[in-house]
Amino acid sequence: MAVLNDKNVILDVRNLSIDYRPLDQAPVQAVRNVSFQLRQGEVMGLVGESGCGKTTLMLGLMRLLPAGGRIVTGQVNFMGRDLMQLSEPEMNGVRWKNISMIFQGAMNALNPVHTVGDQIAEALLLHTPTREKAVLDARVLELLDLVGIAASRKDQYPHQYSGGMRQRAMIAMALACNPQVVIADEPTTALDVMIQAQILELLSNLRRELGLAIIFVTHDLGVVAEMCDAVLVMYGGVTAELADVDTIYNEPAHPYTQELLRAFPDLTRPGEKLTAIPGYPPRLDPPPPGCRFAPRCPKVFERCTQEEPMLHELGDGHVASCHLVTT
Amino acid sequence: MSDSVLEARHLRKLFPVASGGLFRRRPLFVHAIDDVSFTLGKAEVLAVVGESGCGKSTLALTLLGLERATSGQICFDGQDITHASRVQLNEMRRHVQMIFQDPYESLNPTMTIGEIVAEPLDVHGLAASRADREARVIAALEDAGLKPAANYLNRLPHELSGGQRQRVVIAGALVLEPQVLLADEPVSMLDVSIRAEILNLLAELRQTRGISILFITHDLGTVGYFADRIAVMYLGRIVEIGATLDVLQNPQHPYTKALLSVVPAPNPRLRRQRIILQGETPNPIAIPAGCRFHPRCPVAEARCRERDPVLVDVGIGHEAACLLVEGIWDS
Ligand SMILES: Nc1ncnc2c1ncn2[C@@H]1O[C@H](COP(=O)(O)OP(=O)(O)OP(=O)(O)O)[C@@H](O)[C@H]1O
Ligand SMILES: Nc1ncnc2c1ncn2[C@@H]1O[C@H](COP(=O)(O)OP(=O)(O)OP(=O)(O)O)[C@@H](O)[C@H]1O
Ligand SMILES: [Mg+2]
Ligand SMILES: [Mg+2]
Repeated sequence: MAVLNDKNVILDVRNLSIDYRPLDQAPVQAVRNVSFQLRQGEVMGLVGESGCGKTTLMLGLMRLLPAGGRIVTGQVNFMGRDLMQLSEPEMNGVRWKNISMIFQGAMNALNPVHTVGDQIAEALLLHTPTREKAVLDARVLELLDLVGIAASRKDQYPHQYSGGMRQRAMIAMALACNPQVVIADEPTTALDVMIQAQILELLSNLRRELGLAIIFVTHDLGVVAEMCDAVLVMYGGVTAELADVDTIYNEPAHPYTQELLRAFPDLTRPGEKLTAIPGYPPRLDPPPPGCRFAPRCPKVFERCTQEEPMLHELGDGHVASCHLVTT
Repeated sequence: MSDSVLEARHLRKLFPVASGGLFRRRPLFVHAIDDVSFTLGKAEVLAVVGESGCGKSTLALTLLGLERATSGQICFDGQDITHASRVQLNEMRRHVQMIFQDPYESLNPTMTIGEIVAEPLDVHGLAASRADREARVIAALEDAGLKPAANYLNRLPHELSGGQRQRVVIAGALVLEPQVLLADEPVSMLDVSIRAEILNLLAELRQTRGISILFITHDLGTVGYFADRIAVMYLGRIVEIGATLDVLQNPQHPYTKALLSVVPAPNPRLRRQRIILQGETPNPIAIPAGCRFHPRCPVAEARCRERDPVLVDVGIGHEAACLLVEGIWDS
């Protein structure tokens, strides 16, 4: 899959591993050896249960890990540079300008005492040389228009916005500096289905019009099927499976992907029983030996509990880490 | 209906709002629930779906007497409880329990799981002895799937996963052995695999205990699995109601069709045309004249601005309130 000279590849993540080292506690191996590539204008879904390391992976490649979080190994190649090797000021030049992020739960993190327009202007000021009010204002209005917020709302406060509008404002902020890559961490999880549909449509349009590459982090498999070109399924900090969207949904190779799909309600097949995945994700401080999914896997056999499966290539851009696919 | 446990008749709930301008004489009201009638049968699961702000939570709170109905009637077990006294309401609440929206906020972080689940027993003075109290708490925890209960009794909420916390909330509702559960978005905040687990748990409770469930959600995607009937709400009113399969496979109201179209199908091969309604649900202070859905309706006609449609039969036990479907079924 690693077509090295694929010139549309904009972000190339290699073997990224991330630990958390809480004081007085065993280190948490939150992410291990995750690799993927993102092409220009591509939407990649990042899915997996709560705690599997999705947010950590994204914060890691942005180099925004909280205290205690540490990149253990890996490269993040972006436009010919390894982001992990940049100095902090250099990295600051990449953040928001080239790669920006809509944080999980961010729509509730808008500052209540400033107007939405001012907060977007502030995001602009961080990275644009201009201090001219007229220029800033024009850009703020342009951004609001891009995300479908009426100009008349610019001087309102966050509490005067609905949840959907606040999420649009966050998207406007993420787009402020014309990034090539936007990471959206659960951008629609707290919204109702109609507003979610509006936001998904907005992101699809932005991708089409601006050629944005998007990493869409979610646990909603319906949204991923709707939006994404490729899907990375994580389990307990590692890659379970990575493939194009059709393969993931119609020929999933990893038992975890298969189980995840069976646990997801499908409106087109009412009456069918949902199959919950029994048990819970593994501890990561440290993880148990063998395959991390083994304790919950319906297809587990002896080797699974002893030996950790390596990522195995199954076809063009399709990889899975399961002993069943290697034999 | 003889086997109805909970019934609403022409229920209305208006909230007064501070009137805007200085010269405004007429008081303004939020029409949160605007003429809602339905029955919930014994051991029935009725799903109530609709966008944010359509009045779902207000409906549940009003049924429970936590908000007083402005007009209309509520009957529990054949008894009119609309104007019940506090004592009577308390008695009723033993049998009608509510599961609130957010599993992270509805648990007191300083109380142990055992204390949290025992609290309703203490409030209603139902435990005969310490041993009885503990036995009931253990039974409720295990019914909610937290087995063995002893492992959970002394833990604090933050030591549990999201799914486990939601199970604690459910255990707290089960401990009084209610006949009815009003479940307000019980799975919306949860992860897929946990969601399946909680949905299956609710389905099982209906089977084993004959509990009736009013299942409130904005996500039509989750209701097909165990709801017997679906009621679709728009701006404080039920605009379509019927058996789950009828509503999902043969929706009649344009709003239901739109809601169904935006539920993402979990397979890229099933991507389809979505009917995305623009904007948010309009402000329930000024309900549009005529059909309340007409300003956002993709198929509205001139007459829809004039007449407010009522629910009419569009199939067996299937009703919709839309001028465009009126008369279709009778003929
Ligand atoms: N600051 C931290 N210190 C220690 N451990 C942490 C910290 N942040 C996260 N973790 C742990 O790292 C793992 C990955 O967490 P992460 O937030 O990346 O998961 P996630 O996949 O984004 O989950 P969710 O779907 O709930 O957002 C979890 O086991 C979590 O408990
Ligand atoms: N105490 C109150 N005072 C004034 N208005 C209220 C009150 N409670 C609810 N409302 C209004 O009544 C309408 C219905 O609200 P409700 O919370 O019942 O909606 P909902 O369908 O549960 O929405 P959600 O899906 O967001 O939970 C909304 O417009 C809301 O703003
Ligand atoms: Mg996360
Ligand atoms: Mg609500």
